[in-house]
Amino acid sequence: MIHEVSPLAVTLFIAFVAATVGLSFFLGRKATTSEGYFAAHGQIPWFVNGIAFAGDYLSAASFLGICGMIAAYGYDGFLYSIGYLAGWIVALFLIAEPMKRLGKFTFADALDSTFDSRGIKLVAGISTLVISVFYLIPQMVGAGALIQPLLGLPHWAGVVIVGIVVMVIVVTAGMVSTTWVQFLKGSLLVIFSFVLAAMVLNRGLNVREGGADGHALQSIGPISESEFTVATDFLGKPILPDGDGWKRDRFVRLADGDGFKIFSVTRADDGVMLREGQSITTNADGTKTVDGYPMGGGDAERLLRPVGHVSRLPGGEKETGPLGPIEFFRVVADSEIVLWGSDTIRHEDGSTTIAYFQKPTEGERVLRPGEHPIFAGIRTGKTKDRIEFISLMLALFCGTASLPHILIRYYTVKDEAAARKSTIVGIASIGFFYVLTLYLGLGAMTSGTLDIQDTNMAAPLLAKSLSPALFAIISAIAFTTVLGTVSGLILASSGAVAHDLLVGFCGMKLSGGQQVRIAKFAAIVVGGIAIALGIAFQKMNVTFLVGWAFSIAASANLPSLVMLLFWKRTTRQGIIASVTVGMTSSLAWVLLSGDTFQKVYGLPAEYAWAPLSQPGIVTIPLAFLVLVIVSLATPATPKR
Amino acid sequence: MANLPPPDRSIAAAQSHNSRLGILLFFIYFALYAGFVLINAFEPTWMELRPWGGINVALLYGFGLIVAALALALVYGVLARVGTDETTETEVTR
Repeated sequence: MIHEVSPLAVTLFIAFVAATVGLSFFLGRKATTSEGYFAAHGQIPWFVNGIAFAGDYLSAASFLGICGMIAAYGYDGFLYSIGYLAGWIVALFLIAEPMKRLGKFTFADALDSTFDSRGIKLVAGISTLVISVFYLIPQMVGAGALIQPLLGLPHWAGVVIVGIVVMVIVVTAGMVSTTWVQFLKGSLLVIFSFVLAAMVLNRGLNVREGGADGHALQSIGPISESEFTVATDFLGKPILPDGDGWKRDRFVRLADGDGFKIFSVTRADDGVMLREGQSITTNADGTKTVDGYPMGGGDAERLLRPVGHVSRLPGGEKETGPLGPIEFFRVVADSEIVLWGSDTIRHEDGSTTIAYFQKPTEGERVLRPGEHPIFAGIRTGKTKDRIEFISLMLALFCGTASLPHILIRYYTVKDEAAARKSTIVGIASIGFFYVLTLYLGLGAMTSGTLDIQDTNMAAPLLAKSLSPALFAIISAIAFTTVLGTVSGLILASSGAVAHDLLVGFCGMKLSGGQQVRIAKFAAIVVGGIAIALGIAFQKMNVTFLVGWAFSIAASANLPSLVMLLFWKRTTRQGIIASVTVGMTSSLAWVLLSGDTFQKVYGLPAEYAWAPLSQPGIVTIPLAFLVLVIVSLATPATPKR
Repeated sequence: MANLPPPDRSIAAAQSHNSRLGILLFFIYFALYAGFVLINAFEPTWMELRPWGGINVALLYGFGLIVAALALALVYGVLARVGTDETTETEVTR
């Protein structure tokens, strides 16, 4: 789908970015010391820090990925909302106050607080870098997805713009500006998501025959099997012959001008049903055609149509009018909604067609778990699929309190009570936002504006269906969402390089100012890596990618942190071994999983070495076990 | 009553109290979350039942977990203790 560029959206986007960068320069003078740069002097008010937690945490994955997944599949995206929020319980009840008590600038500070071990600083610093880079990938992919409809620029341009702006934010003022950017972004995101959800409820649901572009999707049938078999034309248009990957059993193409109309074929008790679909072909020379026409907005060109509509409301109504928050779910459950699926057809000349087809789905199914491929396993009854699901939910539960950019936010407040209060504010604002995700996702699912190729754009496009001004605001907020999270991650990474690796592990004697300069240089290097990876992983769903980062964080960081706090026999060697094993095992597992083989390497999933795609259920307990065994096998470490 | 020892208001006692309280609340929430995950994994059809107001268990339990997280966080915020620095007799907010 190609989106029209809105001047209002461009203006607001530039204003948001300018305000963000301006704030960074304004606050930059407060961050010349290492205390100021890494921890904002511990002077951030707890309420501001709590909202900044939301700004840090409600990343592109939450706003774009979850809403997109709900819009495309229903309830399954909400499982991520539930898991992401549950992780904050671990952070509040187990981690928040000790983290503030033990640490100074980085995660390694807390882990090494009683040992003064170069080995702990090394592994904790590396783990921070690895997790941050993995978490950066989906943020950058999200930035690229946003920039295309907003500014009409290609995906890579969005990634580069985010990378450069974030480098400016982090290099100019460190944690001070990052915190205030996140505070503003967190506030705006929650407020405008609420506005958007309220508008969805006020609009209610209505029956349509297609997307918001007004095109009524055609259907043929039901007809008998014999009638279908002998037919040579439908709707007065001849049927194109099978061959070169096309099979009439699945898709029928009707000649239409220079191209064709494509219909998916489904069989039911009452006969054969043909429903209009869409197709996009990537030719061997890289050009693209939509339903046989060159892709574009011109006269002899075609674009993929926006999708997502209600095909039946309860009681045969055509529109509901405004709905209450509970009534909305009740009506969705009793309606029929048209979701979309896709098949890939490979042709002899090397070109590939993706054929999109309608999936009329009962609302009851939309509001139950198990429709998305990631979660479909829970309905197969297979033990492996069940373990896969439990593994993902475990990683989400354990991952939040292990993310480096979340952990360092505990150093920006003055004491443990402030750390506790700011976490409670964070839980309130994040929880409220996650409640809204279901309304936004289902609103997008039924708004007729979904981009069939890119579910990540569901929430901004929903806003577009309600008000162009709201689209501009939501897109600009979504972009600052990415800026805020990426800033936090790059700051955590730069702290790990300067403070943990160079000073802590290598023993370099650096003044606070020198540490800050090196951290700024590291921020530029990590930002460059993030840009490259954001371009390379363009096609991946951002929520899916975040699942990996959570698995690695939960396996590498949480076991050692929890055991340090709650098991007195924990030794220095135990922590080093646990972080090393947790990080390497989960990282290797992810890289050797079926999902990575299929979606990153382009190889069949059957070739994968890892038995599951989600490693958490094995690697998190493994890291705990390694810590216990190594700690018991080594003498108790003298505490400093 | 007058013979009871005064309550320990030291920082260490407050930290210990908060730690025990945190662990208790953590396990309460963990049980709720584990129940949700296990029902989804082993009895997913239960999630489709509509026990109240035409809303299914998946929505009720899912929203319930979010509300429970906030409720327990508030309970922790109210019951967590503040310690006193015994060397200076000043109350410190930790």
